[in-house]
Amino acid sequence: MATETVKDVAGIGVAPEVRQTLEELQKAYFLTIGGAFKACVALAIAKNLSLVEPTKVERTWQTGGAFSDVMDLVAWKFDSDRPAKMVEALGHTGLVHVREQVRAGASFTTIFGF
Amino acid sequence: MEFYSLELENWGPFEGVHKIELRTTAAPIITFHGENGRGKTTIMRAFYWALYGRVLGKNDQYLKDSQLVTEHHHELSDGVDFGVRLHFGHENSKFELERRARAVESDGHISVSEQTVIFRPDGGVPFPDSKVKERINEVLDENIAEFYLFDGEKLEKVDFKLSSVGEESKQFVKRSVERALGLTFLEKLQRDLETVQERYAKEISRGEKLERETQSLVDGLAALQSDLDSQIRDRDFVKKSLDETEIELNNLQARLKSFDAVRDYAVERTLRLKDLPSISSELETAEQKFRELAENKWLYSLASGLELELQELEQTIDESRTKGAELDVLRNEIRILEDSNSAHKCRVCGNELDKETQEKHQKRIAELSKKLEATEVADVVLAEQSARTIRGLRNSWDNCDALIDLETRIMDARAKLDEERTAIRDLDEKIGLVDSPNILAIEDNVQDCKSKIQRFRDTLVLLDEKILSIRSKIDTNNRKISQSPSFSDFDRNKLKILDELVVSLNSAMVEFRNRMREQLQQASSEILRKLSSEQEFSAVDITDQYQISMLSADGRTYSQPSAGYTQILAMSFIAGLAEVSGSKNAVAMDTPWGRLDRANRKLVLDWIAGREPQTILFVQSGELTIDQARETFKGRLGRQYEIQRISANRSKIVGI
Repeated sequence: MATETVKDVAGIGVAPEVRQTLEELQKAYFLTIGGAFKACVALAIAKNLSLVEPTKVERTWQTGGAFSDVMDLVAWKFDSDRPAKMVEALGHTGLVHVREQVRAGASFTTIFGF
Repeated sequence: MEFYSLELENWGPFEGVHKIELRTTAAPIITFHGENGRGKTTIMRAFYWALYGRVLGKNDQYLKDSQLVTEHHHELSDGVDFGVRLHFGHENSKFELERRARAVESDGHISVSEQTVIFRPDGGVPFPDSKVKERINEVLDENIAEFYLFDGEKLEKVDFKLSSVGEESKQFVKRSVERALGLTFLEKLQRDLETVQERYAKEISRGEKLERETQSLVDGLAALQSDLDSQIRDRDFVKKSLDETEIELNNLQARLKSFDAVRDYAVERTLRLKDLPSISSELETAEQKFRELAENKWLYSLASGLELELQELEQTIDESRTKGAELDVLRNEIRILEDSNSAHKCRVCGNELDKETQEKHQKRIAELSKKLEATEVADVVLAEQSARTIRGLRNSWDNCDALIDLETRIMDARAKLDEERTAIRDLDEKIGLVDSPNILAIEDNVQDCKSKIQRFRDTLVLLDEKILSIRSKIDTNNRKISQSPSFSDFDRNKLKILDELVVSLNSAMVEFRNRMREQLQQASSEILRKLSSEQEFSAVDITDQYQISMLSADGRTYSQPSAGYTQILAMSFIAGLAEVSGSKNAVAMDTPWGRLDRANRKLVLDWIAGREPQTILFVQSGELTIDQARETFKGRLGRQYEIQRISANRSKIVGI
């Protein structure tokens, strides 16, 4: 039986609908939006949120460099053959999850605590 | 000067009162005859004592008054008055001079009281005591009295001086000439004048110095006045500044008063505003740190999970390794049993295995295999890989509590900031439109004004002290200037005249001295020719060095004249001096001719007979007898007295 291999995304993107949330989050608690995005990935994993796939993303980061650690985490956690796509999805999921809290001005520990 | 009478009281050998009339009309010669020791010299001394209050004895020593009183007076132990009263005429006036003292003998010693002297115009008021000496010297100066009242002793003294050639002789002649001619007075006048001149010059010099000092004071006054003006200007300026500052202070305080109600709020607002930047800064720092930490600790959400998972993995790995070792023991035992069975020989001891043993082995192998199969061993490799992954991410998840602490600090800072801002807003509402920084600025200005005012006041005090001091100096200077003597040209001219006068007087003195010496030389020469029986002696020479000698007709000098001629030379000299001195004073001579021969004595007596002024002669019989006197002087002899001995120590004077 022939196996169909789906190629992973070349970079990690952010969906426009969560872009503002990401920026607000960065503005409040992080140096970069990359840092904020990675924190959202971790939150999604920690809370075991139901994965929400972004429909459309704007490519923002390379998978190497600053994102290599989050890539390693996801690769290890999910044994996925498309870790980048997984990271993108997890980050998006996390952002969607925190959107209301960020908008409400919740604290960091409130947003990212468990 | 002419003596009218001499009254002696208890004087020498003359006990009691003895009055001797000396006044004559046309006959000016009076002779006192007495042998040696009768009291002729004592009478001569009475003239001296009456006039000058002292008498020169032998060796130029003044006699004590106790030597003058009648020595063996019977009442001397009770006290005896003694003295001399002298009447005389001088320049158409008559005078009475009385000098007295009281002598008391005690234990063989005679003590004498202070002299009392009364000198007055005849019948007039006595001259004051302080003026007596001066008045008497006006009649006959004591300095030249010895040329008019001289005794044989004096004559011998002069005689001795004249006969000795040398500096002493010259000085004697010079002194005698100058005293007789009043040059000593002129010298004194000259010295006085020089003293006056010196004093005046000093005064002028002092005055000029004072003038210079005064000028310096005047100059200093200008500088002081300028300084004073400057200080007053400074003071005015400071006063004006003080007034202005006080007005400004009043205005500022009035403004502050209007802010009284809100002042505390304004101050609080300012203080709070001051705190805001530090709070904000602290907040920003904390936020920045937080961002850095959050960026780093992006696995914050997974931190506890990862930590727990890592612990579990490490436990799993440990357990797996333990189980692996146990399985290896089982596997080894199975292998040994299987090897022993297949070789029918025990691998351990080498003994042959029987069937039954082999079956037991087989049974054991089955049991162990079953156990081996039943044991589950986790995938150690996978676990280790997971653990490595988690550890690799450790920096992003461990020590996340720091984030919580930081967030707490941030929250506190934000709360504090909000609180401050709220408080400031509340204060703003209370203060209203007032600008609080302005209030504080005004308060600062008030303090500045107060400091300025204090400085101005201190400066004013200093300036007032300075001004007072300068004014005091000005007053002092003005007083000194007003008191400083001014020297006119007149004063300077006076000094100039005085200088010229001194120079003229010096010159005149030299001239006068020379003329007087020449006159003395001429007068002495004339007398010498009258007194000398030898025509060979024609003149007396007195050099400008005051060396005196007799000259012959052809002008030769006799360097060693005889004792008699030396006496004649001395008489000529004395008489010449008396003549040149210009006054027609009476002359009293006591025993003057001891060394003269008869011819020369006659010439001397002839000369006396021809003299116009009163001449009183005290002679002993060896010189001139009573009859010889009458014969010689004839109508020129006014009175004759004889001094007769009463006892060894007492005499009396008897008119003949």
